[in-house]
Order: sequence, then C-alpha cells, then structure tokens
Amino acid sequence: MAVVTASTPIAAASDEHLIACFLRGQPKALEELFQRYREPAYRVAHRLLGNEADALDALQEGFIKALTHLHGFERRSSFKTWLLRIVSNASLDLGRQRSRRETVSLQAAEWQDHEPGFESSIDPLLEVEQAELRQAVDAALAELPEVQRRTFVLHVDGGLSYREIASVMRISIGTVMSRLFYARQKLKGMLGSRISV
Amino acid sequence: MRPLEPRDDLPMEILAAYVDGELNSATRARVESWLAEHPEAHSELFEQREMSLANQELWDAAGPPMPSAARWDRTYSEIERRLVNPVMPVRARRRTVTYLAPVFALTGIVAVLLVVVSMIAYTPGPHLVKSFTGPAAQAFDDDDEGIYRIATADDVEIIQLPEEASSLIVVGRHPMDDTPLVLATTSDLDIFNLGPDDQGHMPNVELIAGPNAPMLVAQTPRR
Repeated sequence: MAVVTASTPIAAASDEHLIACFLRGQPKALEELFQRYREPAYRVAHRLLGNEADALDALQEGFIKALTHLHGFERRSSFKTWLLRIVSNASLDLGRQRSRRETVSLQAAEWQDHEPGFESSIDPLLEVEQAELRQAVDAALAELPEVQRRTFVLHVDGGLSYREIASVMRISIGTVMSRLFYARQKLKGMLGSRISV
Repeated sequence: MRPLEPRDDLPMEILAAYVDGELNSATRARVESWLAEHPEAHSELFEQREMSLANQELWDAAGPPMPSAARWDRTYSEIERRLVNPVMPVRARRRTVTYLAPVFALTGIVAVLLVVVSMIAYTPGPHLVKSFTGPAAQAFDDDDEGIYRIATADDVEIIQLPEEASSLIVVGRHPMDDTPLVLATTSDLDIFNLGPDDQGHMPNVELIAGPNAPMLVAQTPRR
C-alpha cells in the first residue's frame, strides 16, 4: 500500500486515501473523487438512460450509495469499478421506472437544457452530425439485450477492463468476451456504414 | 479463458478480446498466427475493431455532451449536502438502540411520566386522549419485549417543558395501563435524522394534522 503523508496533494492521492479522508470528514476528498470519476460515471448513465437529467440523477444516487455503503466495497477492486457498478445499477433501475424517452425529443431537450449563457465551442454542423451519430448509436444499443448493452457500455463508456466488468457483473471473463463480441456484431449490423475506422 | 490449441479453430469471441488488448502475450501470438492462416477472417476482425475502443473517433463523436459547469456544480452540491449531513439509517439506529436499550427504556419511562404529570397538572388530559385516533408511530423493533421505541434522544428535541415539571423525577410504570399516553404534540417536538434504511424503506411515522395534535403516542407496554 502506498504511503501517503499529510502533505500529499489531494489530486495525487490514491482513491483509498481519499476514501479514508472522506470518512474522516474532509469534504475536499469527496470533491476530488467526484472530479475524478464523474465523467465515466456520467457517460455510462447517459448511455443507459439516454438523457442528461436522468443520467445526473443516476450519477448522484450512485455516488451517494457508493460512499454510504462502503462496508460492501471489497477493496480487491478499484473504487471506480465499485462506483460504476452502482451507477449502472441505479441507471437500470431508473430506466425501468421511467420509460425511455424518444431519442428525437431527447436531443431537443438536451439542446434546450443548456444553461443560459452556455454556448458550445463546437461547430454547429459538427454538433448536428454528432447528435445524429449519437442518436443512431443509442437506438442501436437500445436494441441489444440488457446484459449485452450493460457489458458494452461499461467497457466503451466506463473504460472498464474485461476483468473489471466480470467483477461488476459477477460473471466470468469468458462471458464478458462473448457478450462484447455479439454486441459488436449486432451494432455493426445496425449501424452499417455510419461508422468507419 | 480457453487457451488456444494449435489445432483449434479460433473461437470468434477471442477476436473481441484480441482487439481490446485483453489477451496475454501467448494467446495474442496464437491469434496472430491464426489470422495469418485465415485471411478470410479479417473482415470479422475489422468489424470488431470498428465497434471497439480502438475506434476512438467514433466513441468521441457518439459520446454524450457533458453537462454544463453549473449542472456539475449543482449535482456535486446535492451529493455533498446528503453525504456531509447524512441521514442516519434506521438499521444503524436500531443497533444503537438495542445496545443502549436499558438506558433508553429508563429514560423513556422517566420522560413519559414527567410529561404526563405535567399534563395532568396543567392541561385537561382527557381532551388530548379523546383526540387520539391511533398510533402515530410504529415501534422499530418488535423483538424487544415490552419496549416500544418511537424515537431516541437523537431524534427528538424537547423545546417546551413546563418549568414546574423539571423539578419532578418520577420512576416507575405509568398508571394508565389501558389508555394511550400522549407524550407530546407537534408543537413540542422536532424530528430530525429520520430517513430510509439501506433498503430505502422509510419508518412508518404518521403525523396527525393540526398544530397541537398528538404526535408521538406510547402504547401500553407488552408484558
């Protein structure tokens, strides 16, 4: 275990150290954990739910549950793995509660949801193309069985390795391999020429 | 993971792992050897690569737009608010209550009798009893014989107590075995730290409407 002294900058601290600091009541540790993992957690939640508001709700619940149920956190895996497991569970629960909204209206809602004064730095035309691609990928993912979709999203959007996904979903690495293979085959079939390497 | 034997045909799932760089060096070398012997499989490999993280451009373009800074801030603030001022889970409180059961039981009896005596002395008790329509709170733990714990000292802050009653210390069972006993009204108590347990279940606390309606009611102890 790495030795971390009191003078260690918080941004350089290990997750384990941050969790210990959080449990001692240091809010900076919580902020750092949030900054560190909010984006992969958000991407996973958004891909499973399809809209910003629900994704932020799932992310919020995920962070809170992950940090209030640390007794269930087996330190064999990383905090990120633990967090994404909870966020993906929360997303699926939320998705079952709220029927998945139509993607078209989602796109409009996302664009309308921007804060006043928020202006994207992306070229508007490029933004439209990306939104269309995202819509197509989301629609294709929605056609996958839930277990395949979750496996794929944890890998591509969460950045988890096969071993980490196996830990999150409590399945074998061979099963992860199989689900990713078939998920990709189906996605490629649905997306066709929209994608290229 | 099933090791590849030289005579094995390549399980297609291995291609996904190969594309993702998840194979060990020996298996990776065998896959490369197999691909050299089966050029027809390259299209399959290409499809796997197109949908993998190797196609970074695709996933960057198809990724969700990130929330604005204000949205991130609001989300973080809510997480911080709920974690820095956590709601004490009912399950944890139950453990505490069980551990300190004798103390709470004695304190509860004393507090009950103090309030009852003060009510009898300064308030026409029957009016309050008549307005009672049912138990306002459920006991947390049915396993503890004879003790109904409606709230602990952590949950209740007494903000009104007749000065005269503060000099009284009464020990013993209350005399009204068959009559519900009003401990306090809504204007006397603040409830805090009451929230869902690990499973998200809320304690069943029913508040009776009205500013001075009976709120916490002790039932006759079971014997």
